[in-house]
Amino acid sequence: MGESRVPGPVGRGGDSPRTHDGTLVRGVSSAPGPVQGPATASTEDRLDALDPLALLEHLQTASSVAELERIIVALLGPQCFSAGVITGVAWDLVGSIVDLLDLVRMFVLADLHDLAGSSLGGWQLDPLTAPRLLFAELAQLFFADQLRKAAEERNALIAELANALEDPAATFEGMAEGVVESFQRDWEQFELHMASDTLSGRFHAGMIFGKLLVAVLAILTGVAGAVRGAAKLASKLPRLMQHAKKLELERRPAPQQTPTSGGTPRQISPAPEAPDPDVDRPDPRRKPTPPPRRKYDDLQPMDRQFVGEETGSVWGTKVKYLDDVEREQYRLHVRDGKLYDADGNLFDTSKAKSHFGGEGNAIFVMDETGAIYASKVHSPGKFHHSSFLSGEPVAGAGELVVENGVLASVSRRSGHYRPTAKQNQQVVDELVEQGVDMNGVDVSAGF
Amino acid sequence: MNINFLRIPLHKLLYLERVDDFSGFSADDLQGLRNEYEPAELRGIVEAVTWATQNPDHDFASMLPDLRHTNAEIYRYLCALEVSLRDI
Repeated sequence: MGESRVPGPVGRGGDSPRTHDGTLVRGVSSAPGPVQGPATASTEDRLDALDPLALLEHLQTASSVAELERIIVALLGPQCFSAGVITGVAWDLVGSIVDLLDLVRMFVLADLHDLAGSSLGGWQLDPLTAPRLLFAELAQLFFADQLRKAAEERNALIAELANALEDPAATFEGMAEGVVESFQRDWEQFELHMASDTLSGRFHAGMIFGKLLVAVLAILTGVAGAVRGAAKLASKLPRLMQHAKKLELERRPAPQQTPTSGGTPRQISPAPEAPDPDVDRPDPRRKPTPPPRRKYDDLQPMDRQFVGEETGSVWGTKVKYLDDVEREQYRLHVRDGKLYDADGNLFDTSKAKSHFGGEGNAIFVMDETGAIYASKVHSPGKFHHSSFLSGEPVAGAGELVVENGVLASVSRRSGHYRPTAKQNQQVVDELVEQGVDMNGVDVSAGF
Repeated sequence: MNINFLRIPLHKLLYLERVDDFSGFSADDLQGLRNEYEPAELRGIVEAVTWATQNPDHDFASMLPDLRHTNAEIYRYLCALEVSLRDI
């Protein structure tokens, strides 16, 4: 593992514009973004109107990942560190993502702090660049203390994680060798992206950071049984330990969204409190929480007949294989028992159609962590079940029929994977776990 | 001619219960195909389908897993398809 990087500016090249220490956002960009889609009209309207109070209040009350993602895109653009963090977090912790919203909000405020201190010179501009920068300056004007504290907390978390992952085998005594190696690889990638000095590099760095953050928090939450040396960990990772405790204490059903307008006092949430140095020892009765990596072991490989399809050697056309960023745009989320797309819209397959495929359904796969990806486009030779995970094995695959977010049927109909009934049951179990009512849902077989 | 393109129209058979229910694409369907595929890709598909109609003994059924139709049924489907694709 390379030398740990002290949190600092992301633009250190000779030609890069000056940025402030701790800066993780250098500017704003309209480049195609990993966080899905444009902001909602209402959010953009608020940005256009430069109403920092309303938008920050919206940031405070956002009660879903999708909502928070839209606010991030409106405030900072799609390629920022916090957008990456939220993607990375969602990647590894499907069921409990709501519990981490406060933490993610802190990263957004920290990015705003950075943006307010950045320069526009030489950066890619778009129509939203000026309002975004002006908005950040206004936010800084009104909430300088909160933004500064958020940036300090973020930088401290990065430094602490760097310290922890400098030698993960020593930090987390007793951890499986494979997990240690995974941490090392991820942290090396994080440092590479941080040093890449590119827009997408910051997003990817944030994504890896979010993934590692959740993994480490999960270990700390179940530290009594997961690793040895709890007292040593508490002293070495006080902030992370504090957040792990907070995460567990706040684990609860998703909060109801509160109105963002009205007569309520306008203020934004402060950055998470600095950690209590007197960290409690973990409760030995607590069951260990495994790292949220693999949830399902029964995986189905792609049919060998389709190997190489992304090159054009199978269909004549090249099948699209999604990368990590693109994949998130197809992720389904469950809220109040209903399915939502990555934009936060109710998922609906009624208008799905493919001339050489089916109609009225979406193709989907579930990965080993239980994340479900779906597409209403199923274009033979161009986009298949194999597109989501780039031909990698799946824990489930098939077709969904969904009407206004309500699941009507789920099948294991996939020629690429031909999942077993047991794998289809994994999908059903995951949907139930996420809160989908399967009563009346048609669970059918494949072809 | 790249026979691999033939897998694209064959894919539709996975969703077609009875081959005889298919009588070709409508004008709207053809427009939809133009939106879905690049001109070069459509040319590849048409060439492959045309070739298929001239080679009824080719083992079409083995070109995709899960095709449940007989080779004769698949051939009939491809012939109907070929006629409608002439206007694309």
